Amino acid sequence: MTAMNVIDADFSPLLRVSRISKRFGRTSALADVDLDVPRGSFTCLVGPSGCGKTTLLRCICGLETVDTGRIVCAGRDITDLSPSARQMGLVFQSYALFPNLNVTRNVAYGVPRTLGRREIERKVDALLEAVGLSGYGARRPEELSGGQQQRVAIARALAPEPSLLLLDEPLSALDAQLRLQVRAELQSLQKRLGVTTVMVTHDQAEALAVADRIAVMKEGLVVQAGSPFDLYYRPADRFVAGFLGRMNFLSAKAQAPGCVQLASGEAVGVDTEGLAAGVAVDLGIRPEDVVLSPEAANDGTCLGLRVLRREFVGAMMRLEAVHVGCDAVLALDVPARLGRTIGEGAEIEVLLPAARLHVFPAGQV
Amino acid sequence: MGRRGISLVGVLALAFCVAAVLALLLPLAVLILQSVSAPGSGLTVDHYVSYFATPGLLRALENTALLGIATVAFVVPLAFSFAYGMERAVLPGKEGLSFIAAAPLLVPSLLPAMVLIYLFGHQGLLAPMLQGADIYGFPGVLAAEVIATLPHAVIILKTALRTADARLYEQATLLGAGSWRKFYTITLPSARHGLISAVLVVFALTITDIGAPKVIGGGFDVLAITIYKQVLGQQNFQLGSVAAILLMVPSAFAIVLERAAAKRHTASLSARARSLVPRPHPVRDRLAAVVCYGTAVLVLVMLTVCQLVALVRLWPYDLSLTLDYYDFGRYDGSGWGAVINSTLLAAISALVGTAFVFAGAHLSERTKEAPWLRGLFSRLALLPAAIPGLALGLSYVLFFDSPLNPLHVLYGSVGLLLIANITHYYTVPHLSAVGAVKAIDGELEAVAQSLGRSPLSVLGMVVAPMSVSVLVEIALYFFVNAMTTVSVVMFLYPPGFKLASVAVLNMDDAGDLAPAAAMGMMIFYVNFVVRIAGQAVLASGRRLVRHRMKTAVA
Repeated sequence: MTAMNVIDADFSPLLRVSRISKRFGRTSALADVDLDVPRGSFTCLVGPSGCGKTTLLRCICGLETVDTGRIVCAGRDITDLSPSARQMGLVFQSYALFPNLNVTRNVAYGVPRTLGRREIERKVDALLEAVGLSGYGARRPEELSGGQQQRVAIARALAPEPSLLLLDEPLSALDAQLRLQVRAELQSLQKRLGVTTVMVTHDQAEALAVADRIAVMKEGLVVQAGSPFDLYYRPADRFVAGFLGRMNFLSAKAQAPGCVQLASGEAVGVDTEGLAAGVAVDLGIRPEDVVLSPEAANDGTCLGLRVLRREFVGAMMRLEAVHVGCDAVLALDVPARLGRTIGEGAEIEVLLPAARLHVFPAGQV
Repeated sequence: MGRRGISLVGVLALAFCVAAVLALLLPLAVLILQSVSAPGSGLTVDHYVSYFATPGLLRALENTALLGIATVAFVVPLAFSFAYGMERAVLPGKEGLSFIAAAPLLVPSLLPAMVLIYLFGHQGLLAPMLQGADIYGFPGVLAAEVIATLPHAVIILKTALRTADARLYEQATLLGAGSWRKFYTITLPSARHGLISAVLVVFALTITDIGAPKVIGGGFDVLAITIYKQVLGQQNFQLGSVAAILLMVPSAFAIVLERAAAKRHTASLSARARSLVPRPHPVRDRLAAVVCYGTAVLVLVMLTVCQLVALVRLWPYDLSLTLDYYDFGRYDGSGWGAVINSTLLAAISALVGTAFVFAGAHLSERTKEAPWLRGLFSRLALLPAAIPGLALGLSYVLFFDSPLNPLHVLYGSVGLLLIANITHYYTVPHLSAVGAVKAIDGELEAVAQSLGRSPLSVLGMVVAPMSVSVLVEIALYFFVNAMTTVSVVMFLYPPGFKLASVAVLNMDDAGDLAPAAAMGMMIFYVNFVVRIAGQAVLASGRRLVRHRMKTAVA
């Protein structure tokens, strides 16, 4: 049974955070944050540094107290409980393994000590096996690689059988190559164990890759939460659109229902959702959705661009081109074989497919 | 540079090595030779045999070990509690407490012993509290050593406890660990190296001290007293050398182990550690308050009593005030001159010592030529810490007093006192200077060369200005130690140049308790003023840097 099935089957969230706020002195770290974490999901809290994502994680596990709002986990209000009574497993960015204890004793640290010695040993063995580290029990943390240390930290966090596993930037301590590998391991481990997981990261690509739910945060608020596809294809605002992946923006004005006019004069047909005529908007389109050398121009808007710069990224060629009429710069991704023939300064014709256009209120980021 | 064969760096490194050989290795060699040579008959172990055959001398050896172990047993737990209170508890007035607890560093080690006599001696104010028991001997020496070595242990343990990783504690909280479990699974293991260092340093300091056993020891002889008696009392340099070497072996062993522990400690620090900010915890904070304020009060009582004894007509019978005892000339030939001599010597030791240490550290860490000489020097620089002051002083007597030595002219000069002070206290400043110069980008020399300047120009242009705070700390260290030491200078001061710390010892010996207390407190005041002035220089330096950074940003 995969996590996706679980979400489909059970819509009541395991964790519900409602309207929590947290201030540090005069700065507001969290302002009326709501968050639902479905049972069995892998949820990512993502946002630029300083957006409050780590503070939210620390509030959930009780290392910080909240000023207002409630936190309910598995039907139990845990807002006023001590960290140890909340049954949360936390893995720090640096893993924070006890340097003086070996792997077995690190993991055993979290096993309830009311259990007998045998029982504790059995449990530690089972946990080490679950994270693929059987036989590493006698090693010291410094004798392990970054990825192995992380798995020890996860095993230790899981030892008290928490209802929720919290990961605070678990991949950022690793170098770039290892990060991709550990990221995949992390995802499959979570699926295998089925433990509901909340991970904080500032890396949008990481969130898109591993999460089945993402909450994008900005300045102490959750701006949008949903599945990665939802957020990528239906971003609520320019911030989410620009933070997850890349998006081009063109200034325009609503003209008539179903039609906006670009600054350069072209009329573009899109869904305006009842905007009054004359209201300024930003049209958004992702680089991979811009179509080069269109054959049929009937399902979108054609623009004439001049290529400023090209960037070869392997499978794709990213072109940056300026709109001849209004100086707006667009990025577009084209297959590398096609891109090779287009030099800097070349004039190209592109199509903005109507179905791929997003309309946002103007100016807001 | 290399093509010329002889480089400036090479010459300088050679000069430093020669200086170290003359000031350290040769005198030590003479000391060892003295202990194994008999007049006319080559090498012999007779002196060692006769040492161990003399019951009194053997007992001194046992007493020394007993004193060292007992002092460690009292000081380390107390210092740990104090440091724990400073670093891990919520207490008001921590800065003041720290300063007060460090005050015993500013007085000669014999001063706490003197105060114990004023309070618990035969005519002591609180002697009835002992109910007939005697403070002289082991209990008195032990108590005095505890006070004198406490600040050293506190400094080491505060450093060890300061570097806590808050995330380990948070992780333990989440895993359900209570306060005690966190203490013995996280706090104690992370302070382990500091504890080992504190044990070894306190042990070495205690067994090599002569001040306290001399003042309050009574019949409780230790090795340091043996050396003193054999050399100054009986002019028996052979037995004195044997005792000095017997003292040197364990203290050197302790210091070598301590270096190893300190090295491992710095290696185990994680760069990503997040520092721990203590949160209020009523039980812990109250216990910490008792220990920390209690210790501070004891130190203040010690200084106050010492000052009172100096100011009253006849302690403790006639408590009317008088300044008569400040007329030092009536009690000790050199009078106020001793204070002036000490201050001068301390100031010159601080200036010359700091310059030497810093140049040596720069040379050994930031240059490329003459690797062999530089390596030799950086090893020799660690050696002085392992040599007790008495052993060094005695070896200087043997080495420089020999008419065969062309450096004989130095004997009985102020210059030799200067050399002895700088040599004896070289290691600690050397290590902090090495830390400071290493912390600065190692590629600056290459940049200087690529811009056509000498690599040594980086010393004056960058390294020295950026290390001002360390330089001031080093100068203060030399100054304070030169003011308070007895053991290094005891055998060396010339008749015309008496030092304050020695004058305190002599006056106390002669039964002039009040003037001894008065002069002891003069040493304290000079050190106190210099320490405060140094602190002010450091603070204004920091302000200047902040100001420059602000204007640079603006």
